[in-house]
Amino acid sequence: MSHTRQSRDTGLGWGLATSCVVHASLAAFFLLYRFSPPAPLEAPVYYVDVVNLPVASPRAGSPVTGGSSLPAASPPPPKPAEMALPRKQTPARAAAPKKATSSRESDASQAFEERMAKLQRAIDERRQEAAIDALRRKTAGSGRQPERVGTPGGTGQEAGSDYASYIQSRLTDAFQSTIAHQSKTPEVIVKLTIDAGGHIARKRIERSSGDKIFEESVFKAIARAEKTFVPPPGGGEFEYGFIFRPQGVGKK
Amino acid sequence: MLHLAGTGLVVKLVLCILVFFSVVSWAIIFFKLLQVYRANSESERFLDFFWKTKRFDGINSQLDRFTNSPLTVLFSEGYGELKRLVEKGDQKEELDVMSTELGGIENIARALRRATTSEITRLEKYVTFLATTGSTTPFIGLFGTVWGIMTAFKGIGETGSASLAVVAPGISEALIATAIGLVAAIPAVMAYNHFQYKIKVLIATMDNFSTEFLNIVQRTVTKK
Repeated sequence: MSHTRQSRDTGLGWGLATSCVVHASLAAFFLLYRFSPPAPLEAPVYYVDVVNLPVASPRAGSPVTGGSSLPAASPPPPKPAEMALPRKQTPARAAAPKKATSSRESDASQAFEERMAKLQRAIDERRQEAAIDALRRKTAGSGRQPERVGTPGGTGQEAGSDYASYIQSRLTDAFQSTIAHQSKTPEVIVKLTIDAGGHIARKRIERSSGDKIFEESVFKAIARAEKTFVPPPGGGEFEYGFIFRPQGVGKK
Repeated sequence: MLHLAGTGLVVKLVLCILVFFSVVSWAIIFFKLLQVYRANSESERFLDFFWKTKRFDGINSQLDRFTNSPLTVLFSEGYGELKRLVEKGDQKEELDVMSTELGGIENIARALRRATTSEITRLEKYVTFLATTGSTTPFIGLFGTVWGIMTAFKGIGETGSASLAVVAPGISEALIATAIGLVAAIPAVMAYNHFQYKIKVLIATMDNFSTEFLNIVQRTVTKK
């Protein structure tokens, strides 16, 4: 066998080293590109909804009832005004081209405006009376128990309704982070019994939705919300039914 | 890349395999680029030198200038066989004029064929790895993706939440495997095709050189 001359090769070592360097550079570039801090933009602007600001503690009142035990006493304020505006403008616009021809129509609209103004005044008076009445009742309650103003602790019935709202708000908060469902509009009614220590003694499904995932998310929300419960007023047990829907939690 | 920390063990293993394939295939690409470039350029220079120089012993003494050319191996093998034939016939003084018996031509042709084969083997070394990378890494990546999606869906089933915020990250992580598989495969396939063409050209050059070498030897013998 004769000696065979071979071409000289440098070997794969330097190629491997170059390849490793290239890959490491690419990885470093990718990491820098992905995790580099973004350029500072404008300072963020935060908006706080002062009107609907949620209240965490039941001692300060419930966000749902607005801290008052008399929700029915104050009617929704802006509705009459909103209703009055388009009616006021539409005939005016429509009548504008015919202004010269029909004076009867303008008289009718004037009479309508006057009637609406009267109604508005009547509603305002009624609202003021209701507000004063509520204030009187509140003041009377605070005279009895000044440290529990706006709380469910005043009288038996009022206390129960407020505490239910508080529990509802806690459940709503917890349910937002656990909500999951398969069916389109599941609805579960759960009756909760809260003991004197603020812990859930019993929970019973009064109406099932058939959506297992939704029911699991409801139970998770209840378990999560339980940690934030305070003892019910009056030192006794509290029992109430809550309706869980994808839109939120309601009282039964 | 930090969100890869949340991927499963199988997906991580798949990613490691893909990175290995990518690193090695790029190493081969760099190595082959240099090897083929040198082989081509030095073969051109050697052919120029071969046709300008009239004497085989003169060429043989200058072979070290063209160490990366496969043609020098062919010449060396052919010249060595020719030299042995001449020595066998006790005609050392005739070597300079390439005198030999006609039957010895077959021996020289065989030596040239053997050298050509060994050079082809040398040039094609590692190229098959590029073909393997190009054909398998997309499938390996796909396997990682399928496994990742399976794991993601399992997690979704366990948590009971089917929202997009829960589903999307798992699928995104799983798809990285396919992406890296393609990143490894595409350059490997392109390089494989490129090197196949270059090696084919070099093989044709070697065949032509072998034929020319045999022609020269035969012409010299018949002249005698």
